[in-house]
Amino acid sequence: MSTVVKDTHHDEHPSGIMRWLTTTNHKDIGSLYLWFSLIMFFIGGLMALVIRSELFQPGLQFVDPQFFNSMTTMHALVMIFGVVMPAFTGLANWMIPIMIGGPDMALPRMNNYSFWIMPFAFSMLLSTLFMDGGAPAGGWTLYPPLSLQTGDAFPFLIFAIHFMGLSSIMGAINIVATILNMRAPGMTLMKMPLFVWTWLITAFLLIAVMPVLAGGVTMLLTDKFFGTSFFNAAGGGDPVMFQHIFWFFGHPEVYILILPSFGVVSAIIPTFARKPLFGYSSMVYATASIAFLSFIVWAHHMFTVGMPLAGEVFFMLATMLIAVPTGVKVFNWVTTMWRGAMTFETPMLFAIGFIVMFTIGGFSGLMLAITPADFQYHDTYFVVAHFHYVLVPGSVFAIMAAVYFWLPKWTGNMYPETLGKVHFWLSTFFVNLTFFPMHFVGLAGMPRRIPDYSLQFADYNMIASIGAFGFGFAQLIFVYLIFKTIRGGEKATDEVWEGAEGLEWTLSSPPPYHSFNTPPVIK
Amino acid sequence: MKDNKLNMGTVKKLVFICVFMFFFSFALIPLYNIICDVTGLNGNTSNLKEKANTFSEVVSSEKLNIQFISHEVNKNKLEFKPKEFEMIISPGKVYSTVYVATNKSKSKIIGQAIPSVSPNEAAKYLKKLECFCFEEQTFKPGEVVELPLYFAIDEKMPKRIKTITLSYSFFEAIEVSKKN
Amino acid sequence: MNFLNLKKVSLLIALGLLSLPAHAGWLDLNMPKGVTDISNEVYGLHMLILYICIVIGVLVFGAMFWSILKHRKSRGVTPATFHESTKLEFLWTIVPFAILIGMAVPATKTLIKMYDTSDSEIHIKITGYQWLWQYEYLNTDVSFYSKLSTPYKEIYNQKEKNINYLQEVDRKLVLPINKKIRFLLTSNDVLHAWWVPDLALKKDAIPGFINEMAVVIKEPGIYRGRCAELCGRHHGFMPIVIEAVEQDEYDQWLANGGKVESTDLASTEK
Ligand SMILES: [Cu+2]
Repeated sequence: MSTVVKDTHHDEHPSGIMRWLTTTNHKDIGSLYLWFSLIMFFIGGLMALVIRSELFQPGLQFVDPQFFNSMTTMHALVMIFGVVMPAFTGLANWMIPIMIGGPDMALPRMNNYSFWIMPFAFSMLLSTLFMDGGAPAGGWTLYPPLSLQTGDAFPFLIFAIHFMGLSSIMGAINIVATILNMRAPGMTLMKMPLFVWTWLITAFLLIAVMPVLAGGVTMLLTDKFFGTSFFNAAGGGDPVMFQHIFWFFGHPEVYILILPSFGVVSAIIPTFARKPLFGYSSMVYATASIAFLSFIVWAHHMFTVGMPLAGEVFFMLATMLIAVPTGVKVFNWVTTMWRGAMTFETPMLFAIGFIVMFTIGGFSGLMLAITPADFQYHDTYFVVAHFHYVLVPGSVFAIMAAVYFWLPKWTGNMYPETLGKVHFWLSTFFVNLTFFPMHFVGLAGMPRRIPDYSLQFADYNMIASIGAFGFGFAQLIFVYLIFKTIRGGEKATDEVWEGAEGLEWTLSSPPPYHSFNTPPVIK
Repeated sequence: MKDNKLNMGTVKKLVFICVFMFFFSFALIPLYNIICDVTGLNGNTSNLKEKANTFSEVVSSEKLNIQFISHEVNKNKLEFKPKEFEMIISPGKVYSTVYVATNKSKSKIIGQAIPSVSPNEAAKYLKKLECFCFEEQTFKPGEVVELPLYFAIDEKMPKRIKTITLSYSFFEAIEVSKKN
Repeated sequence: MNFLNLKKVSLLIALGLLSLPAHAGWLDLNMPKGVTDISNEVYGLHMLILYICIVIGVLVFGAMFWSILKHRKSRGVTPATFHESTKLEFLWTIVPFAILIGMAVPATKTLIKMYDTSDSEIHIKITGYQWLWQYEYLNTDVSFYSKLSTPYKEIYNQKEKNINYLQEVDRKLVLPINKKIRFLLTSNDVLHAWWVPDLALKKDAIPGFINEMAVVIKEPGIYRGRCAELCGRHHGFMPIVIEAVEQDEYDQWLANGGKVESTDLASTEK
């Protein structure tokens, strides 16, 4: 991704490290985000492997329970804020200006800042691993009073979250401004590719809820250090209040993590089916209604806190409603494939894998919405299985699909197709081996976030651990393949894929340093 | 540049949303408290002192159980117990009961009892005319104090609620005083 | 193409996965039916939604895989060009909606039953501590702490693990069957959640607040559960064990001040 631009640029800019520190180019910044995300993917993955090693067998073998809790907490924070969100921001930076026929992002200088805040925030977060009292271990949800028992790491955790939030807000503002103001003449809103649409809606979600998270964690900070009692019963507060604030942020957040994948899949499926996307406008409306509903379902994460009956029923119904627009999307994708002329290159495989496995995660999500049943599922491995199905073979697979889809465009070289397919099949096999058994142990009674378990859960935990290591190692293929493609390979055409539609395929592969200096003509 | 002006306009609006949402998160606290007062969402009772004459007229013939329990964070320092566990009462009538605090330590204890009612929806129907929980309490070393509570149940409470539990958790004031 | 073969292989592996556990058995891998009317209803709801999801899944994925098989370029098909159908869109908005209503109605009914704690005869206060439980039989003198009794050596792999590894306690919560029991939950420090799958009971214990739930146990037996809300270092080590007994046995136990030789009374090195 990175070496490409060197050969094609026409502008004066510094070289070496200064180029990357000072760049305001949307492609450079997109690449930076993607590289950052890839590095964090392996850091977060290592943490997952620590967790799975400890859980390989019953008994405490490798780590102290406190460190285990730090691992689950940090794994989540790294994967959510350090992997999935920056990866999608990277894709947005690379693709949105091109897709709408603009020259660059609307606010290039701010674009640079919003990226460089990220490594800073994550150095701060990861440094807590070496602090007195250990890294945060109260879960990524930071529920008080437990999160207030964090040691020296606490203020670092809070400020790291503030900086991550700041970075994503700046990124989101930039994306909204780009989409609203930088479109080529004739590129009306309803002509925009779905990836742009889903990102526009995601960006609004980010702008609306990241400040709420910032507010919530600020209250935690003042509760711990300045004697306020927002969440302390002794001073008239309520610990459950934090959960309301957190999930008011948190539920839209899970859609922030998934909506751009809908955009990616909606770009890939029509390309390889050689048939236009079915129900474009209903896709847009479905995305918007999912975003809207995401604001009124937050308490389904808190069915066991003891809400009044009416509250439980309301949040159950609202949550179940989300299945409707989500179903519309899946039906639209399947109908897009129907009577197409499909080929199954790696991006298509990942996109199909996404649809199948994301839907499995959607089914378990629907089950979790049923309040009485949720009393049994809540805080068990069933939930762990559910959100990993939507996030790993969901969001992460969509990101990988996007990388395979656009890598030839970015680098000008085709990736090795067979190796890509091997990567897909190994990932798919191991991801299911890891997460499918978790449904069973969860139903059988295993709570999440425990370093040790009773004997009846042993078999399936062992399988899950084997799967996790397999999945981890399979990702080395991905890294190898990216480097190989950047170095060289069969030259990609401008169109790259036979059925490709959209402005990005009208540019050369790799594209010029500034995308559209003269606006393209929109059909 | 025209583009720049356009962008700045968008940015201003978006930053406004951000700032608004940041303060909104703080506004959620009083909002939540209001919702709790109205619906009894979290089982917290109103801290308002009710006037006695509100209750003297309608006395329902219904009977219901009210239970008193307590929780002390540090039992070895301060014991805090209801004198009686259960009362059978009629809604609309004023009753009184007593909690007993025993300071078992050798130092002065300042603290406050925080009420909670279960089922939560009963919370808003529990009216307190006089309660030790309205203010901080001070207990001298070795002191045994009887703390009175005057209360009534609003006759508007749904009939299906037959048992109410009122719990007091006693927290020492170290944390509380920091707040004010 | 190899796409197909691999799909078959992964299907076989998936089936293999399902039949793998020789000593666990399929039933142990599903939600327990439990020993109360409500837990049975919850199990029924769980299975109902599961079957609905499976049916929808078979239909949708069936259509998709049919399409993958038939509508591939290698078979020389020409792609269709349709991309809209208001009728279809309407249909697949309204049908799922109807199915959802079908699920929500029984779920709400069960929920209402779960929230009914009236006419309980026994009231027990449960307090969560880092990391043990306290049980107080209200209006009696019986009150005790219950904590993990699994020996340290088993946890650190210096001794073979017994069958109830990490789900045994020094003092069980003894309860009578066929009596409505109401639990009042609170916590001394951080959040905990008291969960016993066989009773379909799970609720958070929150410092400064009380929560309640009620149960009628139908069968005598030992029921094991766990703390379900992350509560710090030993969150995984605060199990719950209930012994449900006949009424007269319970009365006797209570009259004894809750002191009965427990079979789980092992050393407590933790
Ligand atoms: Cu606990």
